[in-house]
Amino acid sequence: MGINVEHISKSYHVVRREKGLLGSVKQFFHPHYTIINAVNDISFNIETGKIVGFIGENGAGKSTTIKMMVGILTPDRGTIRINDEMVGVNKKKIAYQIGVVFGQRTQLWWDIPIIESFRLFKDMYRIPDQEYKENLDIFQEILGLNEFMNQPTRHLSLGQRMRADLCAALLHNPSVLFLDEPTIGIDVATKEKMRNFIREINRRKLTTVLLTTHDMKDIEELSDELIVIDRGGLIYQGNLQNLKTRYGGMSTITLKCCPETAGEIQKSVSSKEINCRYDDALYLVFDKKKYSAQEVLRDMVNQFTFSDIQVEDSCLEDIVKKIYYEIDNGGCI
Amino acid sequence: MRGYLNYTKISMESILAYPFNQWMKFFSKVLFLVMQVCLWNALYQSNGQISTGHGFNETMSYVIVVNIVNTFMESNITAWLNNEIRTGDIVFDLMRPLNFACMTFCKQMGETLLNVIFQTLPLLLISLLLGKNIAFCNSRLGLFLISIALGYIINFLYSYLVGIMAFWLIVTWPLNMLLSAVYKLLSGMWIPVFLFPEFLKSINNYLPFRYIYAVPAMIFTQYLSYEQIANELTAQCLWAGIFFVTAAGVWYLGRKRMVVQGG
Repeated sequence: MGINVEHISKSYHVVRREKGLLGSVKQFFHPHYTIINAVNDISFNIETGKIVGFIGENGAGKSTTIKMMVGILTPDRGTIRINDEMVGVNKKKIAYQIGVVFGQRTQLWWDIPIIESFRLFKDMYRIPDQEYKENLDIFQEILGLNEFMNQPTRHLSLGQRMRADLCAALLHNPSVLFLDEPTIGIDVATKEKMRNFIREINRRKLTTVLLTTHDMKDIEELSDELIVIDRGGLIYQGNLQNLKTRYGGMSTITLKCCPETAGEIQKSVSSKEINCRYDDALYLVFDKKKYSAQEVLRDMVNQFTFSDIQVEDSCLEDIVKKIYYEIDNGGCI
Repeated sequence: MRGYLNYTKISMESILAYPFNQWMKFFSKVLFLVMQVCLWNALYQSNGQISTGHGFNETMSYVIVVNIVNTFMESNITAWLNNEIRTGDIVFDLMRPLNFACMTFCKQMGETLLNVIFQTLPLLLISLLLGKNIAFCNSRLGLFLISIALGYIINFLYSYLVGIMAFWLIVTWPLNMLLSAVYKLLSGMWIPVFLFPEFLKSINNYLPFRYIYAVPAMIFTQYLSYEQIANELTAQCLWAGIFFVTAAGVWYLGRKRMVVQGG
């Protein structure tokens, strides 16, 4: 069950552009092709009911992989199965199982009210009346679609459109949901709404979700697991927490206090392995495996007064930056 | 089935979102009909002894029928397909639990239905008023309608085929322009095919274009023998079959080499 991807590869023929007008003319009569390996022997499994973040730099092959998984592109080699059903064999069976949102496109009809598009999906996927009504009620409530349900897509803002698209992708209760950059260009409040929605749907219907995004907050708030790819190859698959401990595992305590207090504190922690820095506030950075925030803070809180205290784990964004950096410099995980 | 029918409905609604376009299209059709009628009138009057073997009435009735058929025969399916493939928006339609070609056909049906209501019927009324002296072979109405249906299918499959060439060419409007010039000439939409010079006639007999406009129109305006009509209808079926198989093959190959454009 879930999604099984086995050794898939996909390459494109791309016309090699030559410089200048002369080059263009030459190429017109005698085009040169280069082969680009967009995806190179990737395998992974995703269990039912998991939300998996799928990340990589621009052009790493994420979209190509997703397009193969939903059956739009045919892999050159390898197989993909969704709920034990081979993708590319029985198109209809797969179609009922999956829902897709592409952040840069819309599946709603441009000139007609979105509710009409929804009705079309109802008939297309043969959604029973009861189920359709139930789903629509839930979706409307969480996503707040009511205000623009009767407007044509072309009148909607990007945020409204994405919410409607998300709803459209889930009306037929797919067991797997593919989200390709759903939060691209979306404001913070709407993003929050969309995340809540995805979490709710995953909880209520055990929908498996594969999510590509460049916003690490999406991943951090939603995903259980992470898949990282680069230049068409798989780099990491596993628990989000593991990645964090492996690459991050650092905590930062920010203390707002006067310089004298900061000086005192710096002296008192000098015996421990804690990195201190003071500019507008005092930052204490330490390894979580060695100390807990409570340990570090216990004595200080009794001794000194602070106007503010913050404890933060090093965020995923830092970790991912670190990974991309290492890859670009020839390292591996 | 309801999924497909809904495509027809949605396509109608999308077109009706811009009502002004419908009016413009209607006026252009009326204008074109009037122009054609005037043109052929003038031609026959200035040279009464055209040795075509085809009289004024025959030509005029042909021109009127073709113009009326034109109101519902043409579609923008080629341009639409091109655009879907070029922008990559085709991805959604490819994931549906429906057959893509059937979906496209239903979409075109929506357009056709609207054209029949808003253009064919009014133009028919105008023509009846304009050409009240012109005789048609009313006894062949049934055969004419069958031939129209076959012509419609040929036209759809042809447009579909040109549209999906975008899998290879990405931008196909130059190809469209060339083909549509050939199409307009050889289908008999502009000039009656029976007035073509002999060599063009003989070439055209082996091409599919005349089966879209000229054959139905001739069935309705010239007293062809039943044997001739049977031959023409068979040829139409044959062409529909050829296009069907070709389109299916091209679709299969095109899907394999498809690259989704843009992201």
